[in-house]
Amino acid sequence: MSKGGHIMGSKPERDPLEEIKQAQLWVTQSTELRWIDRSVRPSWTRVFLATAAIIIGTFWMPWLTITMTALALVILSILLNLFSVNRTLKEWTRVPEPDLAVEEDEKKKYVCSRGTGGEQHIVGLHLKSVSSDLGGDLGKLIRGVDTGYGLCLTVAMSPQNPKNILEGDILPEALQVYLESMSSNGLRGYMLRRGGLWKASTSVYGHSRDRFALPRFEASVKGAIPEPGWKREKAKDILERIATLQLTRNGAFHASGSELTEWLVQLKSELGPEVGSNVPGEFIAPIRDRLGDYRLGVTINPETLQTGPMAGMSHNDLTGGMLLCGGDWLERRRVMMLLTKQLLDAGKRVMIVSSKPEAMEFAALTDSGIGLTLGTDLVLNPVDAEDIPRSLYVPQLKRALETIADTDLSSAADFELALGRAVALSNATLADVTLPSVNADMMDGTEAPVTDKPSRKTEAGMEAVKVLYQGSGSRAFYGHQTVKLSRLAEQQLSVTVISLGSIILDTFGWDLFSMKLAGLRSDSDLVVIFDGPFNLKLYGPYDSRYKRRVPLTDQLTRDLTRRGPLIVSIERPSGLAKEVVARLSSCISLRLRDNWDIGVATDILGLTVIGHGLHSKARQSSRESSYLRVMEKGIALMVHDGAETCQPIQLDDAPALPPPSTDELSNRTSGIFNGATSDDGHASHKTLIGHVAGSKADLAVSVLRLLQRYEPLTEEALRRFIISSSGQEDMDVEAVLVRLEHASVILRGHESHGGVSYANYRLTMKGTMALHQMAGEQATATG
Amino acid sequence: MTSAMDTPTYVKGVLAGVGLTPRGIQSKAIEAGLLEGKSIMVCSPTGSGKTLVGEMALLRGVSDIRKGIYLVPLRALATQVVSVLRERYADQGIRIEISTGDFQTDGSDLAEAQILVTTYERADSLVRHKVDWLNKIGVLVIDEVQNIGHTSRGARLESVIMRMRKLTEDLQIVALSATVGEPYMLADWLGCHLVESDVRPVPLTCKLVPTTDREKTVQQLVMATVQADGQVIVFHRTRRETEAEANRLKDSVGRQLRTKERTTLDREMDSLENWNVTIPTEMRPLLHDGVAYHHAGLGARTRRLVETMFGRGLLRVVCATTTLAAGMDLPARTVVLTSARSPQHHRRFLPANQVHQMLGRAGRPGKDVRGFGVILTGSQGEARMLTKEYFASEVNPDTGTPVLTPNYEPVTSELGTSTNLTEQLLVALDFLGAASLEEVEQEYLGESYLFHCGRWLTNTPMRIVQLGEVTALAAIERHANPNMVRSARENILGTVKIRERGDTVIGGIVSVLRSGQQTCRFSARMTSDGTLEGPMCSCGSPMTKHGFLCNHLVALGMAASSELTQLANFVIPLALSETSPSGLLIRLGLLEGGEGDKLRPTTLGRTVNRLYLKISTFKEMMALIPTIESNIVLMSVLRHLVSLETGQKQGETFDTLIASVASTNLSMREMARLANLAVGDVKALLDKSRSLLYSIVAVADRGNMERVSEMVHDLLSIIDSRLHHMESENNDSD
Repeated sequence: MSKGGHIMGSKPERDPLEEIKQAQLWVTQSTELRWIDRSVRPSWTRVFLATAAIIIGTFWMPWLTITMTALALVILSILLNLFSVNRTLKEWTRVPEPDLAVEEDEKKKYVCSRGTGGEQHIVGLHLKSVSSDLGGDLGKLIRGVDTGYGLCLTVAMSPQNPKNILEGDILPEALQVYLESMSSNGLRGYMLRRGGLWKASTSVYGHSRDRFALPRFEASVKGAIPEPGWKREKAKDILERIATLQLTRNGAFHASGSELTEWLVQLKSELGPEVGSNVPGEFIAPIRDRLGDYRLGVTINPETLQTGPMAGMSHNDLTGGMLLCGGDWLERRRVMMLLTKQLLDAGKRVMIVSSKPEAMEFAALTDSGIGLTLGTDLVLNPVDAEDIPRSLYVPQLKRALETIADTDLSSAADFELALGRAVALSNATLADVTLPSVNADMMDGTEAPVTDKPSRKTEAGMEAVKVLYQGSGSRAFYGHQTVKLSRLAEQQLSVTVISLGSIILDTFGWDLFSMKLAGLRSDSDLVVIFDGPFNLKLYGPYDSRYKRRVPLTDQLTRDLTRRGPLIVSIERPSGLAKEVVARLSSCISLRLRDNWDIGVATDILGLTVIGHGLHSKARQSSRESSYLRVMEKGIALMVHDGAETCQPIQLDDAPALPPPSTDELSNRTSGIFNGATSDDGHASHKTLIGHVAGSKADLAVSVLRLLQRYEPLTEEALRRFIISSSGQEDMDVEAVLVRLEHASVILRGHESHGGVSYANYRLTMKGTMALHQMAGEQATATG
Repeated sequence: MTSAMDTPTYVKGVLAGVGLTPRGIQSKAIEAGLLEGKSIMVCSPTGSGKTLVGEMALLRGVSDIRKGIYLVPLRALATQVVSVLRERYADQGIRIEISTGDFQTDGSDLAEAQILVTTYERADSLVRHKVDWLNKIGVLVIDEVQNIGHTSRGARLESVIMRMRKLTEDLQIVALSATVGEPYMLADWLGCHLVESDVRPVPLTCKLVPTTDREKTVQQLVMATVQADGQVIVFHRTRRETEAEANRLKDSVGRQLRTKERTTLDREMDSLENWNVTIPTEMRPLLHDGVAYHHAGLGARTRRLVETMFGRGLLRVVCATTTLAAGMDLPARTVVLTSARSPQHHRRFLPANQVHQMLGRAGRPGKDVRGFGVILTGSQGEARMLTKEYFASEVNPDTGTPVLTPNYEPVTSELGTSTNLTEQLLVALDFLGAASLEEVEQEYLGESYLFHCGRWLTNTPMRIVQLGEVTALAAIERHANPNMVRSARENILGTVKIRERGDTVIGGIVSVLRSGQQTCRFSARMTSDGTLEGPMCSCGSPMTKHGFLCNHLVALGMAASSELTQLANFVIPLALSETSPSGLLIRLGLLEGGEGDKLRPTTLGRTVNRLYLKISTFKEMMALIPTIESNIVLMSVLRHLVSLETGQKQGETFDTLIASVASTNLSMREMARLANLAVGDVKALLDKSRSLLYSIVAVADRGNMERVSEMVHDLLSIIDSRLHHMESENNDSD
């Protein structure tokens, strides 16, 4: 054995283990934080020290004490004045009748507030003390309180030093000893793992229009969070708090962060992902009505089947574009009827365009509702631009015709020119879409060089026009338009059915209607409902014909939403192009079954949930979207513009109305058909000739009288006559003749002399009437 | 008066005196009673001796101390006929006169002529003037009577025949016609016994050749014939093409000529006979190579020289226009028609009868075993179409090859068009004195060929003529058969929805039970190339070539006429190119109301009628005469009217020409050179200008526009005297 050494090594200088004098034994179930009394007590040491200092100071330096006291009082009063609401209010002009006032009620039990929303009564409850086992939780509180009440929950939390709880009677002894045995770091870590130590204060304020409902509120709160420490706050205290904008109090009890999280403060990032198999736990559950919304039903809690406040769409939701999808047509019809009725009652105008003839019954929703069917009552004239600038209209029309031509017409320049010429004419129809002649006659009988034949694309375009003008589309698209869309938009309620029996023709009809509608001026009071729009559908991702349509569809949707409120009703939202869906900001979805449809609806309804934080793998739960598969009839999911997720609603019953008789509908409809197609366009105090020819009216009259006598006259004869009448060789004869021809006062024709064709002019009926008008004006002027 | 028995003897004796013996078709005509005063219509191919039949009839008239009139279509033909007649019969003491121009003269200076050779228009003008010797006419010979079907001239010819028959009860009509379809129809109307013969002196083979290189094909055909010692006539659409073709062929054909032939050609050109013929400079080298062109731009003497040289075999190739085809009586071995399209309208094809008349010249009697007629087409499709249009194809049983036999069209009347009816209504009322429209329609027009065709043919419209106001209904009835109109009235044709009602357009959809729907339209607008849009239907055939509307358009028209009355009455007649003859004449002041519901011509109307002005030209004249305030304006008005009358747009060269006539002593040849025009054209322009100036004076006098009348009279007298002087110098008596 060596000297100074130990077989176990050198001894430590100090035994790291504490020497225990005697054996002790504790048995504890866990080291989890448990409480006996959470109350916050003031520190007596500080109290004694402060008291001692005041006593000594008073006896030793009384003037100092008095001065300090006075100074403190002055500062207090200054501060009170500075930060009081009354001082703040002095900067404002007092109105004779305040629009917001709070005061005690007669019995001085509750607070009465008058302001936006009318008179309401406020009661406040303060949790003075809590038990060691916190009863209830925020969810139960929210669900427990009737949604008719307004609710304000305030939780004031301030972090505390963990050592503050080591003083007696707060924790069980065993735990206290355990915690005392920890180092300060250990104790801090212990508390941090549990969300920290907080001093908390909790108040709940409820308000209701009915004073007598407030006791029920108190009971609801106490029932939801069954803590005996709930005390009603005095009305005066509430008033003071409102006046000083201080609703929170100092902390009254201790709690760890994790306890508070589960009990009162449910932060979004802490929301539990698993909330049941099919019940959407993160749906919006509003607790009050939204004033000004168009009512569709009531909010419903799918878990409890308890109904809530009124639910509906706001006008802003419709302005941003709304999608109505899912279910069968009868269910969507119910939604459309509810919405239409609400809109009509609110003084808005509604235009319904549907691919179903059954939709004609919507016209019965109001006494002045009218119904039109494309191809029967309604003829849409593709070359009538209806005040849309030609440069915008013609390219769109050409694009729309690609559906019928089944080919890309972007390179068909001649065709576009032909369309442009026809659109430029004021009274044209599809029959006026013609290409210039290939051969030109020469005066000496020879043949002019043959110009290039039209391209294949142009010929395809012309064939498409031929289908619309001479083929199966003629009943809907050939002829002057029977009703201008601007006229239709003025009606309070109009229903237009587009059902021609051919997908291609229907698609073109929808395109044409959309183009003309989008060209109307912006009007947020006109709500357009597209029910089953063929032109917005995308038939499968591999259909090349409809892939070409996507830019047109996107542009139409954009223009339509720009024009005003738009509702698109379709059974399968996956049939819509994603560009179209992207432009619709709100949605009402009925039951969906197809995965593709659910995928689209999930996106727009905001049903996707991220279960973890930023750096974690985002998890999308299918459980919430699966709710779409099992929704019952009469239940829908609704999302407002800007909301992150949706709310389930129970739809009201559709208004039951008898459909109007055919005769009644015809009578109403006949009043809006276009009258004379020719556009006189002249002021009542001027003659037509004066309006057309302007300063050359006298000359124009001479020409017309000449034609009346000798028609038809060749262009040459008229030119010579005009030149000799005016006495000027450089007279712009063509201008006079063009003006008269353009106004359809004279008609250009041709006559043949010796096989050579000469242009000639003759008087039209309009010209004859114009001359009579001139004669009448002159007779009035002279006599 | 020579007895009936003596007349045939007299005629045969005269013929024998000039070495002619009737044969073939001539004998048949005699057998049919030609020399007994019976009216005969001879229908046979070119070169079968029809002209002699006419001559025999004229001789018969002379023997009966009755005047005879020989009507020919062209001035050139008249000159030719007169020279032949004079050559043959002048020695017999028969006075033969010719009158082809000067429509404003009344022809009283022709009273002494026993035989008068004149054009259709001049004869018409003489009848309008009601010259007093008309009732002395006993024989009317009409050459190329198939011209009754001519679009612009046929109505006038028909009208002449109608009036002459009314003037003379026992008028003998001898109609000479080229081969046409259904000639008995025309013969029946004329009251003639039909003598028909389709025997050609030389058999004809016709062929259609599709080609993309016409020039090369023409060259091949020409050279194949010329190298085999044959002659070729090549017909072209325009004058320019004839000259260009002649220049192209010159070298190749010239190489085929022997020195001896060239010498003969040159000698002929410079011979004494032709000392007064002005051969254009550019034509001389062509003639030297045996090629020539032939069109109306050449002087008459030059044309005659070409014809003579070709007839004698000196020239191998002649390039001619289709317009003058009727005026050339020259057979050749091969006839090539470079284009079957009409010179006036390149979209239309020549009428079948005209084509066969041209091709019928193929095969020289006594020289060729067979004649060849060739039509060049641009494509196989066109060849097939023209084969169907012009020929009947049969398979030769021996060779198995298809044989084309000409398909002749029947001659139909052109009197029913709005333009012709307008003119003929004035003519009729001037002839009758005063009559109601019903009387004109039933009594006057009822004897027309138009009505005769209506009775013969099955596809006759419900309304043959419309003299009064043309409503939509009347216009539809003019273009639909009675059954269709009746069906439309009973709504059997289908239901109609009118979809388009513009100022100048009426359109709609006609739904036919079990046949779907058609989109139809009547449009009075003009297309970009200057033609009327007219009626259109999605059935693809809005109007047949006979002018009948499809049943959809008839239904639309009837519906529009009842729903849109006023608008339809404006648009539909315009779309169908129907105007009211009486309305136009009344508006122009040419007709006025008489007793009861009769109409009669005004003094102005009678003047216009005798001036032989087209109503459309007169209309322009009436509008412009009040504006004539200076010579410059007068020139421009004259230029415009001449353009209308001649069918050729006149430029400033016209003004230069008139100015040089009025102020210089240049010869016509020099003026033509200065104006860069053909001599023939200059002559025609001056003639036309003179007649128009005369008309302006007459109308201005009627309208008491003295200043205008004086101004125009001055110019007229200058031009008139210069023209007389030139005519007497050149002795261009065409």
